Amino acid sequence: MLPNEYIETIKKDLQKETKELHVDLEIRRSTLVIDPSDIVKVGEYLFSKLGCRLVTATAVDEKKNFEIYYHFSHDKTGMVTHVHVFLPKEKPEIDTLAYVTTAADWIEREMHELFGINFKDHPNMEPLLSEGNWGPDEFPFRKNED
Amino acid sequence: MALKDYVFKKSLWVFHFGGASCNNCDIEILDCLTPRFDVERFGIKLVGSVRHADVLLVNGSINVRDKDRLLEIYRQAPKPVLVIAIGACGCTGGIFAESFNFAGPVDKIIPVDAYVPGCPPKPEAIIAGIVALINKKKAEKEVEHAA
Amino acid sequence: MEEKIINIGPYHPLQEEPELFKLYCDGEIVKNIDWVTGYNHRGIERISESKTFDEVFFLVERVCGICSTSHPFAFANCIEEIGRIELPDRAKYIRSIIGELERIHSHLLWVGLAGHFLGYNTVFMWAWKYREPVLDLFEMITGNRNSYAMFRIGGNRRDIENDKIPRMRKVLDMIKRKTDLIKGAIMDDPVIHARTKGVGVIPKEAIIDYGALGPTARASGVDIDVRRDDPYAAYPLVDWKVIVEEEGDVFAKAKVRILEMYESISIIEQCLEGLKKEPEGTHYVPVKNIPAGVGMGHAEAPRGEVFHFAITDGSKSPIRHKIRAPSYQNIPTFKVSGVGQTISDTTIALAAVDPCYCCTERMGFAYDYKTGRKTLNGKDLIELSQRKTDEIRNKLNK
Repeated sequence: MLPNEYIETIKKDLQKETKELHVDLEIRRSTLVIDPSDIVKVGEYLFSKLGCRLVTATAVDEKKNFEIYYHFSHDKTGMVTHVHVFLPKEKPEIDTLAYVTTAADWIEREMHELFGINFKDHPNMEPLLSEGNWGPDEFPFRKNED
Repeated sequence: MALKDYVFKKSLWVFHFGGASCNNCDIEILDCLTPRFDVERFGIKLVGSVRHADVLLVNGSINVRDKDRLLEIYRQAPKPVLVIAIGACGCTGGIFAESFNFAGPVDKIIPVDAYVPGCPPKPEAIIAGIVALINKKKAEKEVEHAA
Repeated sequence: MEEKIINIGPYHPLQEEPELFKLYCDGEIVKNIDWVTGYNHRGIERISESKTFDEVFFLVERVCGICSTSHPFAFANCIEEIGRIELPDRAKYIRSIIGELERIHSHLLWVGLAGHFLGYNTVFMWAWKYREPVLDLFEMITGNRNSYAMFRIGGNRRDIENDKIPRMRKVLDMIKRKTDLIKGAIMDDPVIHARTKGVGVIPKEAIIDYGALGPTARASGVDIDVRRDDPYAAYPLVDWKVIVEEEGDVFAKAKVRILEMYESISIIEQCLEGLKKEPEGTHYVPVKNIPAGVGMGHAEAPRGEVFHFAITDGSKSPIRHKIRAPSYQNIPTFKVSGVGQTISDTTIALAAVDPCYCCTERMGFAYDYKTGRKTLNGKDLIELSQRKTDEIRNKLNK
């Protein structure tokens, strides 16, 4: 599979879910903006169908929203796809990917502790880092609004 | 010379406590044991439990969670115990002093007898630190006897 | 039967995630493994947001002391992707040389500690002895044994002058001979075969599911290596191959690491040839500012892929900087490799993933306030493991 074929496959199969797709074939990166409710479907497609690896996920505290970039790497072509979702500030919540790939387990637990993003139906939402370091209702990576 | 001073003259047994460190100091401490530096020549030995140790080596910045553990270890150590803070993080907190869960450099938590700065200190520097500490203890005793 | 908990940890000086492993044992068999982390959390990602791009290099170097060039490597790739900065060839060669030297010293370190765990202290001492010349090379090139501060955006801080090449070659030749020796000591030893073959097996499916990386993945037949899949620095300019084994046990992981050392030596030798062709002093390109954007960079550390992701807004520092170290993905595979093994085998199965084992001495104290159940400490564990090796050795000698 070549990088452009990989992009064509995504374009074809994820037509309905895609809100925006930015591709830069020269440096082998692509960004796929989707609705948070589609994350399990898209994650499952990328992981199981295309054989991507969930590298990690980055949560960002922006002014208007919480954002999550899920980084999927397709090692056969070297393509990396950032799946980008926006979550509302008041109630940041998204479905868990832990049932799609176990790799998401720790990644989501960490995001939960640092940003307070809630992952629905996560199998084991125990504190990973915070115990003794900061309280359960403090989220040290959130930006203060003053 | 009292027994307590006598035991610090030779064959120090050290226990190594790493806080939130980056590993470099830990590796350099282990390196002291390997053939090039081989501190076991002098009877200096890493031990598995602080209850057997004469010297407590502390490296790394100490975060809030480590703080209680460090105090607990210090409590378990048989007294008198010498404490050496190793590396920039052990001495001052280093680059991690800005962290939100930094609990203070080692000397704010337990009394420290010697500091070995460096990021990481070379094994030679660590050995020199231990030697300097032994000499310092000796000199203190001489002053006491003279008085 | 009384369930016994064995604590390994908690002081485990890994990247941001040191941990306390709790082995729940039924007699000799490990039934479950639990982990507790957070002892080493330093909030590096948050500190990074207050540093300028140049300062971040010194910070990420201190994520992990052993991989202290892989994190700057990935961060440099990340920022250079945002700024679309193309490096001169000399800078690429120097970067690859530093990266591969680090791989050699890290793998030697692992071989030594694995030997220590099996009760082969000779391997421990020898591997660490031959690691010293590599650190000397680092000191000669960069000025420090660890934490080299070699990279900057657009290239390297220092050049490797051509008159240093002969000495580097001499050390590499020596390392190659010593690698032969260590390879012989490990690959041909029946006791090590008995202790490591079929132990701590991670099947290919589990590797993919857990997203495990590096030698851990390659020993289970998962053919991934960032250096080849998404080439950076001088890796596309030199000739080398990815080492893959199928068995997935501890022996395969040792084999992958030892064979990778030969590849690293060969890469460095080719890079040194390449250096001679490029004029001295072209080890960086000046970079004025970094535009706003989103970028990622990854690099193959000795333990697997290091991943950095940064968002910039045209100012002097990143507004978000995400770091993912390989052990973060590799450690959860202990659930697969450790469960169902005997305690003495679990020790080496845990060590095989190379989660920075300078904690070995640190494992010494184990305390369990809550349950008050009987616990073994790290020293007992190593002794248990070493006793088993002795038993096998005696059996074979009979």
